[in-house]
Amino acid sequence: MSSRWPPDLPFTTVLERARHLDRDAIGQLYERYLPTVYRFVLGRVGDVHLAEDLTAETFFAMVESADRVRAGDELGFAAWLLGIARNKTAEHFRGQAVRAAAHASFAPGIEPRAGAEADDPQRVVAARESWAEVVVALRQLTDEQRQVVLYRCVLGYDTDAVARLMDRQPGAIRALQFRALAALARVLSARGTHPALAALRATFPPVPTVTALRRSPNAPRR
Amino acid sequence: MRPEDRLDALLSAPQPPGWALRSGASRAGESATMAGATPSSPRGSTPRVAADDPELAPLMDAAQRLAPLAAARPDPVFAQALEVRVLAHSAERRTRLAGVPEPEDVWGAPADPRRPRARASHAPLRVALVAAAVLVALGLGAVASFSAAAQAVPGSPLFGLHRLEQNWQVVTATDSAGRARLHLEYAHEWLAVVRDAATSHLGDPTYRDAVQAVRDEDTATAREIAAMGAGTERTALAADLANLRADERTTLRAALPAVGWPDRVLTTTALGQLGISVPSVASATLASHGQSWRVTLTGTGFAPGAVLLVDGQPAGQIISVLGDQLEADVPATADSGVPGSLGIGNPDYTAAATSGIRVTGSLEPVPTATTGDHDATPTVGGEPTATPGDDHGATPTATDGGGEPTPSGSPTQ
Repeated sequence: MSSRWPPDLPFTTVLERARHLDRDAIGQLYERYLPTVYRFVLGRVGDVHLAEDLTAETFFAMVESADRVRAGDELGFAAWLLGIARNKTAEHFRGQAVRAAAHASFAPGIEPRAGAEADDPQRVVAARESWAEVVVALRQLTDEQRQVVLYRCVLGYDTDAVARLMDRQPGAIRALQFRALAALARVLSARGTHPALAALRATFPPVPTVTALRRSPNAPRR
Repeated sequence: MRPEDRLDALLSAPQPPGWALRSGASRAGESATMAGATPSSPRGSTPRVAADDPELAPLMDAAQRLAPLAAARPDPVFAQALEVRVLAHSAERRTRLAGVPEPEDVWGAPADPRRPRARASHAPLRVALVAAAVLVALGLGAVASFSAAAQAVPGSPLFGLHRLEQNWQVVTATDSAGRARLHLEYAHEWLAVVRDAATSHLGDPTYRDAVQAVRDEDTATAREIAAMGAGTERTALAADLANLRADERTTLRAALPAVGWPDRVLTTTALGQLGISVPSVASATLASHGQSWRVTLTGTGFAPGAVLLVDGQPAGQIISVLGDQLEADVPATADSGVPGSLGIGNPDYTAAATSGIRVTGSLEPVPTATTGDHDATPTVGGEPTATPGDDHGATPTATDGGGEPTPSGSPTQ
């Protein structure tokens, strides 16, 4: 990486320089938002390679439109950038409309790299199954529900920030996230009965590998 | 407190080790400067609600199941490669937006005010600026020309450019159907010009160019339709072509009285191509008849009352119009040569002509003031002809059939 976050300069200055396609500013924004965009996209598509492609498309679009971004602060910029990521994902799904089954995009043996060591094969298998279930369950939510869950529980934005990101009132966000997590819990509790999940499990044979989940969820993170 | 508020408080509360939700949040808000994105402290709520709240426990469990996603990281190799590509794309776009290379690219070295620049290093910039200026000028000229050409009417100097522009649009069409539609559109456009030219009594070249353009577009449309496979689109286009041709027939027939005889010949030819029964001339013979030419035309569709057309204009004295043959006498004058074309004009303004003229015999000399001037050697068809004082038995020259006679002088002096 050519630059490090946080930058020495205020975010508004970084953003202003990014509008002029300053190399350092673009690099800083890239480093800052790469994990955010990647997780956001991954939560929607479930496939690592596809998430990488859509993440790349999102950042290229960011460069193309950087001179026109009207955001005034970091959250506004995040809303703008995640909006691009959302559109790119939607474009992908529109293009794949013929593939009615959402799980068709999964490839066996591809799971996200996580910040956990997991040399225990049983843990790897369990983590794989859990990951697959979560992705399938997320796809059962409405778009708004999925969005609020991703913003709140995956990207870690607080309620007020999510309200700004989604242009809603904080109270509406709280109600929406309640419904979203309730729906997610319902889908997850019905594990094993959903046909998409059954098909997904078939693509994840219980062969232990050490490529996934290298760190335990309990391990301290930076 | 409502359940959604309790849930929100729980989600915002600090979690024990292993609570992935907080970990994900801390990564998303890696910087403390990230306004509104850092995990917020619980606001007046207690984080221990979940354990005692059976309603919220499954929801919190569901949220915890998102831990792998919240902990997901892009592959470092991918991240590094993408950064290189993004920065390269950014540099490329910056250059594109600026229109000129960055200073260090122009001067070949980073801009350093302390370092004197070599004079020669200005050359690339000058060349680039001159080239840019030339390109801009050419571009503006081309734009202006094409803009003017888009309004060009037949007969104007830019008509050819307009046709070229239309042809280019046709070439860029993706399939036969697209090309056929363009040809149809252009055909209707030119047919309107034909109508206007006839109404305004604008003769050649406006009328002639427009008629020719209509016919070309008609033919091209038919060709593209023929190249299409059977189907509803082809049927629809064929119907459009039939409508165009009906319009052509009506327009051209109506135009006949309004245009001159040369344009009537062209119009009649076009009507013949559209399936209308029109006169035609198969052969034309020009025979010497004393001091005049006897013209004999053969063909079809000669109507009583027809006139002889010499070089597109009525001339001569009709002797007879019998069936498919017309005979007329054209008096020879001192300055008359072999005409370029001979034809017939019917009373209904249809006309036909041919340039294939067969000349037989030679005219008797017409006395003129220049008789005896042997320096002048008039020719017909490029060959010497009999002149006063020469051997009268000399074989007269003649062009027979397809050769268009191009008299370079008078047959007689």
